[in-house]
Amino acid sequence: MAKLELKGIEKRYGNMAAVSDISLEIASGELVCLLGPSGSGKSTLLRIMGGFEKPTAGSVLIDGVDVTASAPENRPTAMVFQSHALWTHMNVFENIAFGLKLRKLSRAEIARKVDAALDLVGLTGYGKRSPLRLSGGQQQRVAIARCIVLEPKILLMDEPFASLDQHLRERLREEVRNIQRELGITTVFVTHGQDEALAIADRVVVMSVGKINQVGGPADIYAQPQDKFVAGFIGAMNMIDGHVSSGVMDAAGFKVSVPLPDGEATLAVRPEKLAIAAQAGGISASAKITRIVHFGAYRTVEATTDGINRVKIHADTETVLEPGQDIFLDPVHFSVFKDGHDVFRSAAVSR
Amino acid sequence: MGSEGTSTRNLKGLLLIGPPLAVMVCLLLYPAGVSIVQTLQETAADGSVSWSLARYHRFFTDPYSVANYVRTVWTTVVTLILLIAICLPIAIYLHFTRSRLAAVVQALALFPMFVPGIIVAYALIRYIGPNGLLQSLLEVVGFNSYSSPYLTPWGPVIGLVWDHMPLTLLILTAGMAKVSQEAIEAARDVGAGYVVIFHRIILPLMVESLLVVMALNVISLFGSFVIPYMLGPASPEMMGPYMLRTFSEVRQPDFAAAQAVITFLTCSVFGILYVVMLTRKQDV
Repeated sequence: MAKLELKGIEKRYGNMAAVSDISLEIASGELVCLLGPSGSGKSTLLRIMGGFEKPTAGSVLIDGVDVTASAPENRPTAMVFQSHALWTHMNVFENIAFGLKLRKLSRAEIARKVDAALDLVGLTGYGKRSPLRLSGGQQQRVAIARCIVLEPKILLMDEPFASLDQHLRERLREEVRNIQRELGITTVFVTHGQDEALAIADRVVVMSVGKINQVGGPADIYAQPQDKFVAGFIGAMNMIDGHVSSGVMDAAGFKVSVPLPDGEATLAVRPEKLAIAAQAGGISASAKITRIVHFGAYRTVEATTDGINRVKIHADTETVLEPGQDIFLDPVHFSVFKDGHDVFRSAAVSR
Repeated sequence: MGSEGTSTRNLKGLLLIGPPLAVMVCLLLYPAGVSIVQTLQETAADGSVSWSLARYHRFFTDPYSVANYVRTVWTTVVTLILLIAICLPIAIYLHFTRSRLAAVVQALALFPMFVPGIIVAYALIRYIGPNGLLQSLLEVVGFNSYSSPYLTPWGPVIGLVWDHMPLTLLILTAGMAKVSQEAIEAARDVGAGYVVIFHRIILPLMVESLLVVMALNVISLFGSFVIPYMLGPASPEMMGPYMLRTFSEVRQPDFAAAQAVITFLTCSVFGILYVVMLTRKQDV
């Protein structure tokens, strides 16, 4: 268990900044997800933590010790790579034992530790198998075992489940969460899947274009996005451009009171926060259903407001709804963004 | 219907491979077979033919023939070691580097592929030979005891290394595709230094490519002719020039054929190794 600190990290490739002005503290035993789209700099930041990239500026501290200049082999970190990166000329046991052999442990000690690591990742008895004879999920478990057997202070995971199918990904992330809790190891997990980040992280760091947009718990990030990027990237969000005039915002028929100066603004409402009503209410807007998609437990209703703006609404499976039907939409909870930033957030509005 | 379709496909397949197979049998396998059989036959004055291993016995009891064989083995082994020693670091460098310099290095290393062996030989004579450019350059910097490798056993080694570098580099570069950047980084991550990474990660992953390099180069080096003929010593000489001299100057085509069979059998060991490697690859 160790505390990881990043102070003013910047990484430039020529004129291009891959990451800039990143400062972050990760508490001992915490699982933090770096979440962002491709090119957001999350993997670069993880590689800087692991020592595979040298930052152009800033420092990396582990338990208060500056490790910025240390090579990966001299850091108390261990990395799980996206492509598993198993050595195919070694069997599973040899893959996991490699780091222990370099540390010149006795044979008995190595065998004991490797067996314990295999038990932990649910691969007991797989030691003699070739990595080539394992499934993708099993290979990634071996990669995890290869890291945790060295008892690193920090575990770094670079999109470890990106190449796996959805079911396996969900199962493995639960297992990783359990292992992380059991060992209490500080973990940084890079992903571009928001569901993955929200499901396992203690805190989520949302990144875009090399910068941190927001840091917070999964629930906070989802419910209170601080800027338009986070609002749009985490979960589904209806973004409706509108205009504020004399304290009233008109966005495609939705008329909401906002304490904002006159000008352009964006109304943001999650699909599950839009209620379908048969009759007009306080701030409701009229809409016409264009499409209904069934997802088993719920339906996604697509509708147009003022004939132009498309919005999505999550609806139950009971209410009778049909394409072409005229409805009214009530925003139960909404945010307003101006110049990309969250400037107003509403609690539940009376219907 | 199904069996008719299969027979049509089989017939088309046979028609497809028929012509090249016929050319191979008529122009390669048959004359080679006849030559091999003739090396085992003795024709008496009365025209009667008898089976005999006399030519092979002569080869292995003749000190000069054995010396030529040993020289060929020596040249092949030394050239192969030098080729791997030169090309493996280049292949590793090219695999992990994306720069203009890497592109230049690759172009330079592959350049000999486009230069015929005879031109290489003449160029090297002018460069490393007595009073050649290298000697002149060394004398300019005050080194006056240059001894030219031209017409020494090292002459063919230098020429053959130059000549075989592109093929070796291409095979090793292709082999390096097995060594991912992440595999190296994973090794560094668990504490391996560069020497350990080379010895424990890169080399084992490159074993197949190194065996292919060995097989293909040995076959080519062992039977090479132009460069040993142009750059090598007169005695002992490599099997290529030795066979030609036996055939055209000494006028003993049957003994030359026996030398060719011995060369072929030596090379075929590595040919079999190459085929085994290919089969193993297909199995994976």
